Amino acid sequence: MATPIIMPKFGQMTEESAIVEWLKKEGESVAKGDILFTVETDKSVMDVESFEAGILLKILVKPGVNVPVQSPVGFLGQPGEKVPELVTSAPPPAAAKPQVPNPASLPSPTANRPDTVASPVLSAPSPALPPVTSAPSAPARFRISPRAAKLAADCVIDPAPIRGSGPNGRVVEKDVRSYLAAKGYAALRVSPTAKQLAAKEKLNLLSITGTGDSGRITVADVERTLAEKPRPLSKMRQIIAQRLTQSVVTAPHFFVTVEVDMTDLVKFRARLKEQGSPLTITDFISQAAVLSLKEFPDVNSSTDGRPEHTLEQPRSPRPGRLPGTGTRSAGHPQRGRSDPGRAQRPRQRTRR
Amino acid sequence: MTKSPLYLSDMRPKFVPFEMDCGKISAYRYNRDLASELAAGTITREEAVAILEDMLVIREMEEMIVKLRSGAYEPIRDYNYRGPTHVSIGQEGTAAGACCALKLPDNITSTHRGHGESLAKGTVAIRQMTDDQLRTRVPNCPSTRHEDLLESALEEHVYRTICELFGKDDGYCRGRGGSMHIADFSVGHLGANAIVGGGVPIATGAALANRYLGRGSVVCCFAGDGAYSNGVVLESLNFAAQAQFTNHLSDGVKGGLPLIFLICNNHYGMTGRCDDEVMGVERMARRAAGFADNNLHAEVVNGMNVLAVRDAVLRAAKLCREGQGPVLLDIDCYRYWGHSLSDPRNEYRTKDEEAAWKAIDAIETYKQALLGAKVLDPAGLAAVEKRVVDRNARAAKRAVAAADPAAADVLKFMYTDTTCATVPAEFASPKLIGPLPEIKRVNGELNYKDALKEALVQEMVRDQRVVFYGEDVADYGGAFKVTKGLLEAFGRDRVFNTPISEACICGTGCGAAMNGLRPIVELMYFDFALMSSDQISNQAAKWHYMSGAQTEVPLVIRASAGAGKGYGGQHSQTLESMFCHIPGLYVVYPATPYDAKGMLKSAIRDNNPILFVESQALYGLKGPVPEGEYLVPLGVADVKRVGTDITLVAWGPLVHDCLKAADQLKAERGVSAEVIDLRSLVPLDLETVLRSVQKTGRCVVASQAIHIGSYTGEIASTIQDQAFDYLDAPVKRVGARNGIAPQSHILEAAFLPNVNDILDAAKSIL
Repeated sequence: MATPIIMPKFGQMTEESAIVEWLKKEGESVAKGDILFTVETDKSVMDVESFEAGILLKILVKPGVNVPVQSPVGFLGQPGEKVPELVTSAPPPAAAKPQVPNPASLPSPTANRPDTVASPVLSAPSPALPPVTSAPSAPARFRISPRAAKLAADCVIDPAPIRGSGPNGRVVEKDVRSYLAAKGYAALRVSPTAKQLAAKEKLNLLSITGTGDSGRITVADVERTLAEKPRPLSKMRQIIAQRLTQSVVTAPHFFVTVEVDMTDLVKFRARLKEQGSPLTITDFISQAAVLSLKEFPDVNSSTDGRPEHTLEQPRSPRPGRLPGTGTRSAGHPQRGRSDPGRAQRPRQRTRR
Repeated sequence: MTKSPLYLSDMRPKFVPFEMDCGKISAYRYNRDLASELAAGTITREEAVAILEDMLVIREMEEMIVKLRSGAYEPIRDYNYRGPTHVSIGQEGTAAGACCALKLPDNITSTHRGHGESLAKGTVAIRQMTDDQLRTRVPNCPSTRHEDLLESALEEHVYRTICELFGKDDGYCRGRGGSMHIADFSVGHLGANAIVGGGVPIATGAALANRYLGRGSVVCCFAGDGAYSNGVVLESLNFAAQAQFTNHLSDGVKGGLPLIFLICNNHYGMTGRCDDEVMGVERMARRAAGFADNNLHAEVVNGMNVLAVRDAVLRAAKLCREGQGPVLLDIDCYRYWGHSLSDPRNEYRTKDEEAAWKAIDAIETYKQALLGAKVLDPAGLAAVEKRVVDRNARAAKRAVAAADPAAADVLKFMYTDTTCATVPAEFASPKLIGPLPEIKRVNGELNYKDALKEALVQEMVRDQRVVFYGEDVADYGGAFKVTKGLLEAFGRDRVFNTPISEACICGTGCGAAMNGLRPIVELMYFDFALMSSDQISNQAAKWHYMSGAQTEVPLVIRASAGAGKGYGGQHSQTLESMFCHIPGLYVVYPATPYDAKGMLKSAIRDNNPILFVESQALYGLKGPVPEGEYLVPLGVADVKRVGTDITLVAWGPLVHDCLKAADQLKAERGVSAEVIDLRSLVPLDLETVLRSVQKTGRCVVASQAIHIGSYTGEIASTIQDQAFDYLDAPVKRVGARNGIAPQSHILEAAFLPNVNDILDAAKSIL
């Protein structure tokens, strides 16, 4: 029996992951401990080793496809073994992901008690279900009728900016038509191939500038727009962006401009460099910052802002390792193993 | 013109003391034997041998079923039979004895334990066939000798029977019926029935047809003792024995129904004893005393003596042919096996009881009689037995190898597309016994009620096979006077009152339709359809399919829907949605006088069973109705008003509310509403609805039915499924509240849907 290869669950909260690259081909032999494939996780790209030796019989999931963790991505076995047909290469629908329940959605113990189960809707006294409305706090959902959505899709436009006149602000056909009229859609000239391509790439014809005769949108225009179109960030870049933003938001920043005569320092640095210690100016500034922090420990502390909580100070500040100050920039994707959100210490940025 | 058929009762009080004489019912009166019958010339030697052969054919086939369970039937050892195992082993004397007393055109109906009757009716009929008739059954038989044709036809009969049990395409019902619904209409077998008692009203209706058409044929209705506690069976006994068939009220056709109620009394329902447990009479035959002053000529007959059964059925059939039917025969017999092969029998009866009955086995005792009367010597007997065993084995092997029906044909035979386009000459000029009812037109308009009447009159004039009956429909003209005047014109043969027996009204309609008539029956209130739902849903709706299209059921059931009159929960329901769920049935509901006439005429000419719903609220509605001939096709919706902004789909009274709502939408908001009257729910004209919704993008579906399970849901769901991309809003449904129709005017007004409900629904999506 072929053994399924399972997408590992790398983190407690990881629900799905994508394979970056298969390092083995179908039919290739695999030794125990060989790297089968790499996976992009929230934090990094991880290697996945084989637990067993055998032949990679089947690759179910191609690189770049998000699949639920702990689902099979391929099969390992002996030559000629049959691969079960139960698995499809497409990720299962959202409903089929109960392996990783969201703790927030778990029912409370009382909700499972039979006597608290709501009576069926057929009960005569209150047969009518309340109208489905989103909770007031939830962001307003963009509502569009199937007919209007189809018209927008047929016209290859983005219906998002259209104001809906239907119940609950639903965009209906006539809203799309008036939007098209307001935008002069009828005058829009577009080559059929360009329209087809734009539709396929889900672009908005109204946001493409035509460069053909009399402003006609051509295939080249669509391709240019496509090249300019924002592309989705990888998981890791998303996390980096989030954490960098978080570090800016959660640490108070203030900016002081001080003029310092660095003549002596520059000379000193040149001398050290000749002696084989190529320190940077930044290193000196860092050292100065460290010395200052030792002298003023209150600055080197964190608080959640509530008055009853005292300041919390690190026991041993590590000079030269302050985030965002070294050359190991957290924003560098290739080498970016550092997680800027881990250390949230006050920083002083000196601008020259 | 003959005398008026109207019946004005002149009954006087008469309270003179007297004692009612319930008469006598004889038991086991057969006192002859084979030798004396041969001597008297009441049976020939060939007939005597054929009876044995018929019984052997049955037992051999049913023992095959038993043996197949354990792979012990040598010819098809490995065949995996899946299907019912309701064998009648032990009852062969009843089946073969009764069938050999019938003629080829005579009919039978049978039961879930009906292999015996089905085989015996066939073998007996085949032996009565001419060579030409045999050749049509076995066109590939290479020989022209009568003996070869006969043998070939007998084998073909067993083959087609086994094929049906095995669900093969060569089965009598093309694999659609199986063991419990087997039928061979070509020999008058109108079908076995898996609803206990369900076939009895069908037999009664078939006998009604035989009587009316003067065919001289008898219907032998086989049903078990268990069935004789079933409501529709008791209704049928009463229906069949109505005085009006024989007394002063019958003027054209005279005589009782040619119908034999043959009780296969094996003393057990499924497992419970009938005569010592779940009934209060010791002998089933006593049932007859409750239904006719002549006790239906009832007799108790020894079912283990095939000649006694034959004798009793011969005499019963003769009475029937003489117009003295119906007859009830209580055939005392025994079922050796349990209800099915999964019934071990030891929970409810003793081995000694079984042994005592097996000791007088109908086949074994008859073999002795044949030997004793020197009709057969032992070698001759063995030859007959071998012939049967070999023939059945050949048939079984062929059946195993026979083709299955094509899976793609799963819905084939659901409906027929035939109609009565031309009336056969013999029925094209019915006799009128009085003037046709006068139907008053004002400015070319009729009300809905008179439009229906005009349709009935025209179709009854057109086709003598069209008969009409129901509760109080004759002299009185129906509770709503829709049919006043029909009796005077067509006489009581074609227009008659029935007992208050809704199940039997619909069941006899089904049986009569399957046997040559085109009946229209009336349910005074739609609510009463629930009384007859088995006969509508399991019988009329299903027989075209279950018989593999051997029969058609050209039956119209007119059902009058109440509502709005303060009649409360049992006289106000709109139930068509329930019957739309029953495949095989057409469900139509006209909303205008024009459609009422045109659709009723179409329904009467259609060969599908049709539930024709009328609205009491619309009976008084006036509208243009051409006097002459026109038909409104079934399954075609009517766009009542063309519009562009919203589609209002409705049927029945709600069509008119939708038209009013459309007026208001126009006046108040300048909205242009398209109004579609579906008219016909099954078949449904989806195309017209979808085309409209594709145009307007919005739809409200409205009916008078309560919301839960209403057919409006089916339509709304189909629209979203097939026109999703055209929708600008969710499809809304309008119906009555999810409750029971109340009596109070205030409550009923709150209960029923109205124009405002339609407007609210429309506005919520505009």
